[in-house]
Amino acid sequence: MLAYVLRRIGAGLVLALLVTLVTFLMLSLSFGDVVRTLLGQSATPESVAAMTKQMGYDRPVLVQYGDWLLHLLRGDLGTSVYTSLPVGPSVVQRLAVTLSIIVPALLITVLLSISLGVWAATRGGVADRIAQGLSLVGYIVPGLLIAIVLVYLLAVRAKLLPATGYTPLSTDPAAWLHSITIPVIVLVIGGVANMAAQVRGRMIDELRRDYVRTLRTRGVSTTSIVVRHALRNAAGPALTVLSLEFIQMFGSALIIENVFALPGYGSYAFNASLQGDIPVIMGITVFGVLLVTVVNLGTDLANGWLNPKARLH
Amino acid sequence: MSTRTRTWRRLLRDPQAVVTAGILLVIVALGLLAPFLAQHGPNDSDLGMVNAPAGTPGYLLGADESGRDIFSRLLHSINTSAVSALIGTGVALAVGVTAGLVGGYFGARTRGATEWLFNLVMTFPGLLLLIILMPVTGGDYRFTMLIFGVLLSPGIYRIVRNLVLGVKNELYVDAARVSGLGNTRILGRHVLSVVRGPIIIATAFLMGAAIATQSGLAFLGVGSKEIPSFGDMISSGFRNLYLAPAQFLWPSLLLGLITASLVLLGNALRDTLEGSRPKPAKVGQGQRTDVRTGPAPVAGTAALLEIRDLTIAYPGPGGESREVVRGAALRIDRGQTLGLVGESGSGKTQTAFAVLGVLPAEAVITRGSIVFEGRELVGLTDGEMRPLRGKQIAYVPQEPMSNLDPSYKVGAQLVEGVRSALGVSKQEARTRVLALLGRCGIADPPRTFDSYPHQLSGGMAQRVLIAGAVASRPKLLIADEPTTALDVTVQAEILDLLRDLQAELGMAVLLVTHNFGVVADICDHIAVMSRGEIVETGDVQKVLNDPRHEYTRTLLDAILDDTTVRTDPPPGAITEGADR
Amino acid sequence: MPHKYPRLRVVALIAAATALALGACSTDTPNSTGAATHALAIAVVTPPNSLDPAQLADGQQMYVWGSILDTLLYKKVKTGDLKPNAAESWQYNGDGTKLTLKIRKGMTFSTGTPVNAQAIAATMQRTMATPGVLQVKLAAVKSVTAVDDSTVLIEFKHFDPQFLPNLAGGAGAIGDPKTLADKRTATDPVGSGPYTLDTAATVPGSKYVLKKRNDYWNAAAYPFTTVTVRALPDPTASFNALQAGEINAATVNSQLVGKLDKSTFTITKVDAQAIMFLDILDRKGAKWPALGDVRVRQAINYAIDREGILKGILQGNGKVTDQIFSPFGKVNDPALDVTYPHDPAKGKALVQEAGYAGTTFKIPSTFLSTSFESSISQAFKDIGLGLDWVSVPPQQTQSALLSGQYGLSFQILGFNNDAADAAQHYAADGYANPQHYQDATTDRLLKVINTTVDFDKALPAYQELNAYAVKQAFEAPIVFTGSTWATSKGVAMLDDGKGLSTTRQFGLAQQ
Repeated sequence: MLAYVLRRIGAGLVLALLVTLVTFLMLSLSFGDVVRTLLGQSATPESVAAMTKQMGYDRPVLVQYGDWLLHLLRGDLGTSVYTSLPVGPSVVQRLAVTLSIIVPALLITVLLSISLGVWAATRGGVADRIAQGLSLVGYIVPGLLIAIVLVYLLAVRAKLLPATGYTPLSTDPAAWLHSITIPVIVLVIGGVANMAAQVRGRMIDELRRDYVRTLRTRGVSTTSIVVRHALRNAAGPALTVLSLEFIQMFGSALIIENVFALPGYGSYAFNASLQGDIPVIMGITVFGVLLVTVVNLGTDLANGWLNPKARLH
Repeated sequence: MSTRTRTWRRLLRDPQAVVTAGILLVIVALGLLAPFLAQHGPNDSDLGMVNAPAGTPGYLLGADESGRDIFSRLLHSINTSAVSALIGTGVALAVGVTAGLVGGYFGARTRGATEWLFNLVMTFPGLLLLIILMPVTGGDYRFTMLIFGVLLSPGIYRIVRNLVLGVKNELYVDAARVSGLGNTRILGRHVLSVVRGPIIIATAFLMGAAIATQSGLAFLGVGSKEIPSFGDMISSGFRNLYLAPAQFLWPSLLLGLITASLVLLGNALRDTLEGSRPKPAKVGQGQRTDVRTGPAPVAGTAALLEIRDLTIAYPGPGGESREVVRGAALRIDRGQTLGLVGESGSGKTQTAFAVLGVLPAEAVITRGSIVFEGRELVGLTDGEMRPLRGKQIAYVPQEPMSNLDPSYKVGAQLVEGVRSALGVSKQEARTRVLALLGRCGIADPPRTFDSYPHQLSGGMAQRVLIAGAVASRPKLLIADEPTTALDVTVQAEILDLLRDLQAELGMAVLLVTHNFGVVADICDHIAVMSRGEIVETGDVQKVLNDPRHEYTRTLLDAILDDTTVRTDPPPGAITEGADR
Repeated sequence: MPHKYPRLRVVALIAAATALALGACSTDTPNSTGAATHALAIAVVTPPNSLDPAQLADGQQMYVWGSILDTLLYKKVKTGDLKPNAAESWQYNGDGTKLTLKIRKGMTFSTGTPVNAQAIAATMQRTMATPGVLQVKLAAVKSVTAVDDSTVLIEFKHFDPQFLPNLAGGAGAIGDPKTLADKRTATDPVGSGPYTLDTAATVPGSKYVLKKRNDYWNAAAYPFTTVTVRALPDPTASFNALQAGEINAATVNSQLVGKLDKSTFTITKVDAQAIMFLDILDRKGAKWPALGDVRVRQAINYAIDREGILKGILQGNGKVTDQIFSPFGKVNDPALDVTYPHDPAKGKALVQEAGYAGTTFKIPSTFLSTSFESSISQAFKDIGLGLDWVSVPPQQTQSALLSGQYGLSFQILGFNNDAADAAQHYAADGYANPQHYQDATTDRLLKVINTTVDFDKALPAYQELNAYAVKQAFEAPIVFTGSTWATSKGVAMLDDGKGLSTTRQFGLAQQ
């Protein structure tokens, strides 16, 4: 078990190494632009040369990458070329913002999707049509529209919730809750539309399996069949969908962060890319790969717990 | 070819497929006709028309913040979306299919490498990666979609690889016999036909993803403003939200319509190409009955189970109902063993399910009665049936593995059954199950008790299921082909076990089988079923020695000829799944 | 100077344009608990980059660093005049190669260390030696020395007419020499300004919270006890935040003014604060001979519908112009603004006469240009020319302009001063002249400008340069962009575009 986890983490590290190398090589094409942007409109060739040298961009790309890697091994992701803020702590801080939206959103999405999906799958008929209709509405109505309406009603008019910005949980839990409410709702609507349909489909499949019939012939109660047996077996595949949903939410969160002016991971990545802030892009990439590795590992471990066949011995 | 035409015809009959495909076709046509429909180019700006309201002459939906015709931009945005979908999906298909063929066809090492590569690709968070690569792509949406296509390819890769692996494995078996044709040619031909369906389905979803991603990026402002796109229009509308909310609404709704249509079309294609997805049914409702004129109940029958005039129907694909059991009648006395014999699809399993009250949700009992110990079972709710199940009537299925919940240990499943049927304490149920496992010929009951189903052999699993069925000393045991899925040596042992248990517990057994040997071995009586009807019943010896019905004779001859092990179902007799 | 690191939000365009010279600002709503506390919360489009005194960018970024770091001079709001700040007085020698600054006494850094001439000299020397945006502004400086505790002597290689105005901006910022080399300098520098950064409440890139220093020498000029600068690149988000009371000063779309509650918000119009123009990069006609022909350049000027752009896209915020020089300076001549009326027919005729009909030029499409591209393309079409907008990511804009690949470029530049305008647009090494165009007339006039220490004496040369540039159509000026400010009750916007983006633009409203 431990060996397996270590092996997976090792594979994740190799992956991070490769991805960062590729990213670095691709970014190296624009190093010159970064220097020019930094120096502004009236840069002289001398100052460009001096800056290039100072930033180490005059060295061979692989040497630069190696240097970056050595610093990384010492836990140093460097500093932003524009703001000079240390990249590591900044990414962590930004990630905390995004996760504090995504994690609650994901938990609510799971609860709602399971309730809705199971309800649709076990009731059929009108219930099923209602659930499917809700999913469809979730698909068609853009999350942004919902966000706008909520902001207008709850923030601008009623002044119950903030229209923009983020308060860390540690600063003020109540304000934190207020600041994440609308973003979470928007993410949940998109997430439930997808997840509930998945849960429903899985549950329908499970409820038609042979073992369900056999359990029924033994007089096992409907509740136990639905919850203990069918749902549990449906959970494995649903979990995989969930992990993809989690990764996807980082994309949706990016748009939300922009609209609500939240200092999150996505907008950090976005702005760094716009500016070509190489150390920041690299830091974001490292964290991104590690995050995905951890999520996938977590999914596999949870899957092993749910599914004895996939369990490791 | 005929299957393809049939598929098309079925698609054309599916309203969901027709409506969504129709919507998409209309939208694409609007996009293609944009230059003729719109009076203005998508980037033509008239400063006098800034934020003109909808309905302004020449500006059907008004004009945006730069005085550009929203209607025209909307139509041209369709083309951008279409190009995005084509590039993204095209790349995903090209990369995914090629790699899938390679990964599936070549040896394990090649597969390992492609597998690793695609796992790697799959771990990239798509939108973020596209943004990180902005300095490289320059924001050109076509370039971006090219990369996105690669990010989408793992899904296609997996589908193709699995199908190729499946086809290839089958081929090795065949190839031993049929030498001559090159593997590659067979593979190619097989794969093409197998892969087509899943890929068409995946394509619909991939297109939706590509369009959504392109819009998301354009919304964030990545890429050229000269390219009209929904994302850019939504972004512009969002900026102008307080001035002209409709500018935000039009592109949002059209984009929503397109993506939703693609998802729904994908679902409809899946239903048609991969067989209709079952609709959910109300759980715990009991099997459906639509009995208007049942036979008058027979008072004081001595039989344990008496089935009369039982008719079970399934809805056919066209809505018409097809009867899989027609007027079946049979009777079992206490302690008696009845063999219900017939070919696959003859309706014997359906009859057994009807007795247990576990017919699939689509099935309807349209006529007849099932009387158990003087009580009419037809029309009972699931709740009313439950006390009978397990305690009075028990069931041993055909395929041992799929009838155990893979997530729970064997012991826990059996204990739950015993407690549901008898309401005993957990400890007592456990003692009882352990004893029964021993009685059913399991060498190390505690170990089996603590095993997961996948850790057992087929024979062991069947013993477990039998133990589960007899744990509550039922009066009637329904065994549905209990030995069919097992090795020949194990078959005999299981039959012995059933015979012993029957004698020991004094229960009646309804043995569903297609095997006359099994019937001869352990049954007192026999009922022969063909095409949903019971054609002959009687004492085993009598029927075997002197079959009166033509069909029984044919069946018996088939066994004696030793040419046919198991005949195919009679053509057109039965709907899919009715034999389960 | 141009906005360097914009967000992509198209929305932000106009706000960004306006924000070049100004930031959005806001004061807070009066705090009920104490009459002595006043909070200002300003929305800006882009957060500041480095706060290192050697890396300071002008424009909106100044709201943050200008609060922490004191500058030698101060550009007065509403007049734009240079006023003493950390430097009490200044004196040039005859040929403008020596500048003596007298430093105010009694100023301290937030650490308590006194501010003296040595500190100022050390900061400037460090900036001169550090590659960055400010280095070039000190390019003419030969040496900086602290003559005594309160006197700084700056010696120049040659007279630089832009130098003095620059001392009101980043080039005049004063850092604490004791901590300049420390890591904190880039993110939380020790300064002698009116505020210190509250690092606990600050979220870099998103929200900057500044606390007032009561021991600041000029504390009376800064009525706000806390200043919050929030990066809100999206105008809708910014408008929402304003209405929800999360900020109390921001620029707004002028058409939205009616949606604001009149009893809560005060509207202030700033007529002009930046110049929006179509820069003709290839004035020599090296790659595009058409652009070397004065008739084509004039035709472009005739083609642009300045009034239409002002009314249609800028909601009337600003003022049309045919010249580059700031309307607040002494060089701007209103009589020149009738040179190029909107006359596509005349433009078309000129293009045909020159024989370049059908020519298509490449032009970078940037975050600034997006809202205007369709109108400008239309203008070119109207006179028989074409434009090919090539999407250029922000970080490649500088390289693109210098690459020689583009014939034209769309720009929005904040106001500086007349000297800077002349140098940026017409000098051979000017930013807006990346292909280094020069001719006998520009050489002659710039020589006068660059050697005449007394501005008034140089004025005729400036005016001649301006008239010559308009006639030669080196550029196609479009409008001076303005902005509309909304401030909540209690906060007043005091500037009209002549000052710099500092919190001194805001004051307490009369109640």
